[in-house]
Amino acid sequence: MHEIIFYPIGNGEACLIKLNNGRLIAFDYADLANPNDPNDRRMPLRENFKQDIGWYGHFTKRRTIDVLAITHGDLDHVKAIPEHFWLRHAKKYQSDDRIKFDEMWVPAALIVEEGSEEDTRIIRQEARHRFLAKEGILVFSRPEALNAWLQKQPDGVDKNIENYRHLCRDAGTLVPSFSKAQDGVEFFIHSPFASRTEDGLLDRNADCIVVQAVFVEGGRETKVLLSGDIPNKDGEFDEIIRTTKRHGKQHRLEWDVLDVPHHCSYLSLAPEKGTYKTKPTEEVKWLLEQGTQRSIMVCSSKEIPAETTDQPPHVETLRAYKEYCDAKDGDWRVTMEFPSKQGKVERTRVEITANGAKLIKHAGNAAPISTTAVRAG
Amino acid sequence: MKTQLFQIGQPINFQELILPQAMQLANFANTQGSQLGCTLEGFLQIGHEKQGICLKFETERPQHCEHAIERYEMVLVVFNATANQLPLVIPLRKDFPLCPHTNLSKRGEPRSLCLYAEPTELALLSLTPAKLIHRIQHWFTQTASGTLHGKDQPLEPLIVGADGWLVLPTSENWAEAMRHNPTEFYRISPDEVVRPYLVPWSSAKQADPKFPRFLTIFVETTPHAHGALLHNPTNLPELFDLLVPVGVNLWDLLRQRLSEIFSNLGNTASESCKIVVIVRLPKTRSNSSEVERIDTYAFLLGANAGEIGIALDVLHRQGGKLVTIALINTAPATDIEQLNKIPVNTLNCISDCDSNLAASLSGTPRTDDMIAVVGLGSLGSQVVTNLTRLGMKKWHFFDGDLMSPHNSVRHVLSRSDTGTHKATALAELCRDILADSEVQVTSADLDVLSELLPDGLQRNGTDWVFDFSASMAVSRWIAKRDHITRALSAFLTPNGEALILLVEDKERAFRLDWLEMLHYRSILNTEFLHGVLAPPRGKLRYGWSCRDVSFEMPQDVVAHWAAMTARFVRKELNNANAKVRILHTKEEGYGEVTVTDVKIAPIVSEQVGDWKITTDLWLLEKLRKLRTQKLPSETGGVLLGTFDTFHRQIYLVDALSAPLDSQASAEYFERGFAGLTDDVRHVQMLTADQIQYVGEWHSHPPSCSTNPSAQDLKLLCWQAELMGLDALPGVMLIIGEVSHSFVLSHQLY
Repeated sequence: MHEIIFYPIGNGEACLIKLNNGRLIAFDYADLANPNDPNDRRMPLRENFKQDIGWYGHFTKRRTIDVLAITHGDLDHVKAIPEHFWLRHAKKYQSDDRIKFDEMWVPAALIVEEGSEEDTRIIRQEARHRFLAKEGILVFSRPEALNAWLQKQPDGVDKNIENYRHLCRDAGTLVPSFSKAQDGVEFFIHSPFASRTEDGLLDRNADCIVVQAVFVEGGRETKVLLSGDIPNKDGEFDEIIRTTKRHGKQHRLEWDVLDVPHHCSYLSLAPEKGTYKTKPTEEVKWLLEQGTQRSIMVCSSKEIPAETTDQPPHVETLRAYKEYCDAKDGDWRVTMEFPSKQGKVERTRVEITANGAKLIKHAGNAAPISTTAVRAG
Repeated sequence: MKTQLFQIGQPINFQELILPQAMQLANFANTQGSQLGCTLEGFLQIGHEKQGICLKFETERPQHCEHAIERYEMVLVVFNATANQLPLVIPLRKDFPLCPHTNLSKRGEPRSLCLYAEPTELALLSLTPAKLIHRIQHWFTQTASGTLHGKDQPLEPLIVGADGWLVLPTSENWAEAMRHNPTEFYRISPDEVVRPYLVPWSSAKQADPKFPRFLTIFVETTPHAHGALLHNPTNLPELFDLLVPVGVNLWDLLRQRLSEIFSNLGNTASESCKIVVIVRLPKTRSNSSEVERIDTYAFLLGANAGEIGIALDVLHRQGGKLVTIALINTAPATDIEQLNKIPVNTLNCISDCDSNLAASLSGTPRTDDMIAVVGLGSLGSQVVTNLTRLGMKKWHFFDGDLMSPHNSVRHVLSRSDTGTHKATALAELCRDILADSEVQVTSADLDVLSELLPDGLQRNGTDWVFDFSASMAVSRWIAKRDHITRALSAFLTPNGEALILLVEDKERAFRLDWLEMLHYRSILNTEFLHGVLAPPRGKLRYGWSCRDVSFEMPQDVVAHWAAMTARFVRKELNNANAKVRILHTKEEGYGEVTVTDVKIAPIVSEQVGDWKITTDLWLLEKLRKLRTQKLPSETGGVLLGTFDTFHRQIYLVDALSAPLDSQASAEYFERGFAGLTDDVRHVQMLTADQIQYVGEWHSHPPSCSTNPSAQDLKLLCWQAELMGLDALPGVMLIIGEVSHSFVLSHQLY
């Protein structure tokens, strides 16, 4: 069995994939909880995450995860990574209480963009360090997208982009370090990708990783669409869907579990919020219909308000998602609403079993206390 | 489509709940239920004594359910006024799936969930509303995933409960045999009122013709994924319905078989015979998995073959006789009303007891060793039956003794066997214990005065000889036969205080005769064993002949040692080494056993004239040590052992050191006699006269040969004179620094 843990951290994303062969992949990591605010229900991440990766194991104490994937550089996806993780580029980020990661996955934008601040800037430094060191990083991009930035690097740096090609992976391909045969999972890259325009190839959506993870358990495939904060305000999401369809890879948009994009913001479905219910664009509508029977939608967000709001999550968008969810007899989960909208929150767990995906619904649902015979006669 | 629910009881208000457990559950579900995915839906009064709580569960299920558990499931938790019962949890959906771990209910009524692995009294100790809700939720979660039934747990049967038993043949390929020639069964239970017990006709010892024989209809079905328990069929159409899903058309099979029966047996014999339907059902864990187990079910049809044949339109009555109707393809005129009246009893199919079952139940590995047993007296008969019950099945019994009434006291056979050969009667008993026993019998005692080796004792074809004859003549005879297989001898000491176990090594380098000597030596040298060879406490004459004497020994003592012997055999059967073990217990105790394993040293054996002298390094080392202690003087003493005049063998078992009045120098030793008579008598007493004075030993100084000196020859003459009176040779053993010499006094003649 594989397991996906979505942490209830408010409007933010932190997701841990635990493969049945022991490999660990974090998709975003943002510790947003304010420890000084007693009313902050968001789960503090560091200790909970460490517990889940086996940091406190009785027999083996796990100190390293295999992959830290950063879908994009927004703080609600990366906050506190420099505090909690071991970074190779500077000594001050290297202490024994930090979690190491063998490989980081980043979009090209995270490396090439200037003007980043706070934690995003430090993560960018780490990504640049690993890229130039040519190890421990996979950049979701065509190498050409990094060439201009590479040429600006100081003298002494290898500026031949061909020597970095193995560190880059373009949309429409699989992540090389995982396979269904070895790991029971493969990752198909949807975004970032380059669009063909009249001016030739143009990099768009360069700021957010979107992948389809195809898990195999007991001979059955279970597909999980990890969509980060992919927007659709300007048809970005539509473009991904169209491109995939154009390549005849519709099955790469099928899903059993959908990581609802952008904290249930209407902007991931359509440019307009709608008065009662957001109406998704035709392409997104088609994508939502690709959910299988009894599929699961997980929305990493705050509690969904009853009334309309400016900031996500948007209740109008919730209504749209729920319509598609119910049509498939599916499960809907908002991370900050589990087990309830008040009180302590719990992790959202999705088990990938031989019977498909299963949303764990009951907090603390340990096996029943069943006594075994301790006396014989 | 709206979900259809079973309607049970009458709705009531919370205030009308009077059963404390029901109130607790209602309160808990109301306040805490949502945390556990459960909401309170209502309350019901069921009859006078029961109250129910309706709960709605949001289930946790994977996308692809093994069993059709819905997102929401409504259950009724029924509490009884008596507090010593667990609440029943009934899923209310009418189309709730038939799945494993549901309890059978009356036909047409909803099943309850099987929630408790532990007995009621244990579950009641710790049941709380929270635990109950957890259990229900767990049941739904695991059932949806198909994991409630543990991978290590046996598959669920199709049906449970039975009205009687049917003993299946033990043959490994009984099903194959049944396919070609269905076994007939015989009812051994004497009364129609008692639950029937059917055994294979071939194993019915005393078939009483007034009890019916049952002809078999043998059915093999297609594989079936295990699931919910089904109701036992009560009549023939219900049995038909039970078998349809597993690909069996019982009507066709019955018609064909009945037609055959009437053709083969004729009218009179077949009309009154009964039918038993045996169904062999391959079981799988899921629809897609391999066959994991094959279950066998049997159904006793409650009408004779003629009545069934008429109802099935395969027979009809013509002039008072039944005649068969040709089986044609058109649909026969089945008389369903009549078939409904034919009761069906489910029989619990149990395997007959064979060596596999015995070994499994005993937790011991099964052995196919062929074992010859010599002597089937009280110890032998009890050991053999113990070992048979451990799964040992191949025997060859040698005993010429007849069973006498007094034997019943300590023998496994009884008065009803009086006058029969013990070997024959015991073989019958072994065959009764294990259906696959293979027992050969030689109802004659071994002729221990003969050189001939009877069949069944040779190395080739026999793995062991177990000697329970309690006869030195037998064990020595076995020891002297080179072509006999490896032997074990077990016997009790006369007072029952000890069990002596002698086991030859696989190569037979150490044989029973020498191992017997070693146990004497151990008794001589172990203080707490000094009384074990004391005479029996009392003797009893049971006949007129001089040998018609038995001795006093309680059966509990024999049974105790027979059990220890069986345990020893079980543990040591695969040990290749020789062993001498003395198990000792005091009569006043309750079986506390002291175990003495006797050291076995390499044998030293020498043919001197027509006598063979046998001793071992232990004795030679002992004497060499005494020699060294007295150096530079010589020393000596008497040799202890025994003569086997029939086999012309002298066993040197032990030796006494020099009496205090002995005279010795560097060139001379004269053995004294102070206390020697008492010492030798004591040795004889301790060994029940088996070990006695057999000769003299003395040492020679360093750098001196072990050839007899002139003085030694004089001594030998004296010995020859004394021993010659008893027609026995005197033995002289001369111990040097590294060598030794045996000299026999009769060599002087």
